[in-house]
Amino acid sequence: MTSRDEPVPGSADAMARDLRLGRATSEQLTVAALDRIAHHDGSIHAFLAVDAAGAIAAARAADAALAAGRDLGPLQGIPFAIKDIYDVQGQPTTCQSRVQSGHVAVSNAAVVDRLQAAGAVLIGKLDTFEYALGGPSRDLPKPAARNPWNTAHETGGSSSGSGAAIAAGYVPLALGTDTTGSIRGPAAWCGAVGLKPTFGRVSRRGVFPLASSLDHCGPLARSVRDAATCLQVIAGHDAADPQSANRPVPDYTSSLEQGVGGMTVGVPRSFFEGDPALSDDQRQALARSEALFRAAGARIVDVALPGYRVFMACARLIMAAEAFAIHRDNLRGRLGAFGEIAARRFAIGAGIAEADHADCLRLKTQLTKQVQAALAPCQMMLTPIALAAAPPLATSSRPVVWPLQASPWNLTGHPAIAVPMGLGRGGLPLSVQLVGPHWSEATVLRGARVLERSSGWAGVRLPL
Amino acid sequence: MTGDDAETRRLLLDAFRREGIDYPQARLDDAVEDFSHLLGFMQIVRQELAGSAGGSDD
Repeated sequence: MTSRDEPVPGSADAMARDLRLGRATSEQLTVAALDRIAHHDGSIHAFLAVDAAGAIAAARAADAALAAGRDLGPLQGIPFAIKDIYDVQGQPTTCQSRVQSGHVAVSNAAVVDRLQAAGAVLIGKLDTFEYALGGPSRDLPKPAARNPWNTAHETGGSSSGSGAAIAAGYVPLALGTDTTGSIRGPAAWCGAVGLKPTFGRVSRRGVFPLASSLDHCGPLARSVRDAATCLQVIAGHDAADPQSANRPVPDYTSSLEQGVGGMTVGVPRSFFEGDPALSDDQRQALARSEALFRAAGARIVDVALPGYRVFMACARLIMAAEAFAIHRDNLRGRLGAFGEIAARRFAIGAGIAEADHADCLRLKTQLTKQVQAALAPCQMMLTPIALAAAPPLATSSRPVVWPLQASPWNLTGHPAIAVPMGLGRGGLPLSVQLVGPHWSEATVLRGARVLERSSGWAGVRLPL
Repeated sequence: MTGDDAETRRLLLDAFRREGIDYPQARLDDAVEDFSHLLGFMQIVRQELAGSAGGSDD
């Protein structure tokens, strides 16, 4: 069992310890990351752009600051990377789209500022489905990311490069975005921890929007502690994001090891138990998670929610309507510059009437209240995020529907975390999802840490 | 093509015309199929709202 004193191998936590014990410098960690990317990314394609010179300069600055006694905290000198819909001043934000050709960001996204102020070292920008929706596509400017556990399988999306970069061991931390599961899906299929915080917890300023009512920013990470540490840095009010919540940011790491003894964990079984897409492997991962929670002193109870399809339908409609509004001008004038999948998914939003969008927002409010009521007797819920391990790569522009159950919590804004739960029979990662009441990230992180510790995931070697 | 398919196609083409979107004819069938899913989702939303009529609201 991994204790607090034994950081997960390859984690930011382990790197931070090495930096402070003089076992490594940030420059060495950064050069190692760059070497690993150079060696492997020709087949993985996690990165769309690498800023080696900028990373080395930032690493040297971090080393100099630490040497001078200026300790900025646990992310100082730690390599990280971001999905290429986040702005970095002076660099293109490509959104993996020809439509963005010529775009250069004039300022940093809010969370990039926060991470760099904490001394983290930006390595580069990661693959994304086109504008965080159009994928998996094979007709975009750069090749799509492959799953490092098996390059013949999908990474999940749309934060595809973020999931792949963690699984490949390039960086311990990556930022993704999650509108209907785009952090948690790639995390689940790539064996990363993926945290979608409460709506409003993390600023979205400087991040290309997909659907403003549903968009969330958050980390994918090698370990639960890394996700907590990252959230600690990026959470907080930003007056420039109208949806940003002005409320205090609690300490996300101090309670991580306190377990779940005495807690109640709800399981919305009607969401998934009758779904034919639920694999035996995934069913066993859920059962094992329940058993591990029970062994850790938690009580498991069933909770009732409206059908999963109601949440999914509402979220998909809101996303289609709002995404269309964002891309309307380019769909009129430059439709041919989009990839086939993005063009189709954005354009069909034109057919959703404003009154229908308003109905969906009304249902969103109603469903949020129902979930809050269901969560009232619990500290968190346990659900699958993926009903099966990563499928083989799609071969057409009409990819099959992926068996993911992520969008309910985008709709309701509740925090949700994907936690690895071992490898399935095909050698691909399995995962479960924990969902908590609004603003309860510290609790879901605590639950996730119990599963991480007791499942032995920290001891599973990364594939490369 | 069923009547429902034809109605779905008409609704989508009307929307494209209204918005000034020149969608490629060769890819229209795929767009109509995806749009039919959205219309199905709208039915689910309306049914759920109708089922909760009389409940509290903001």
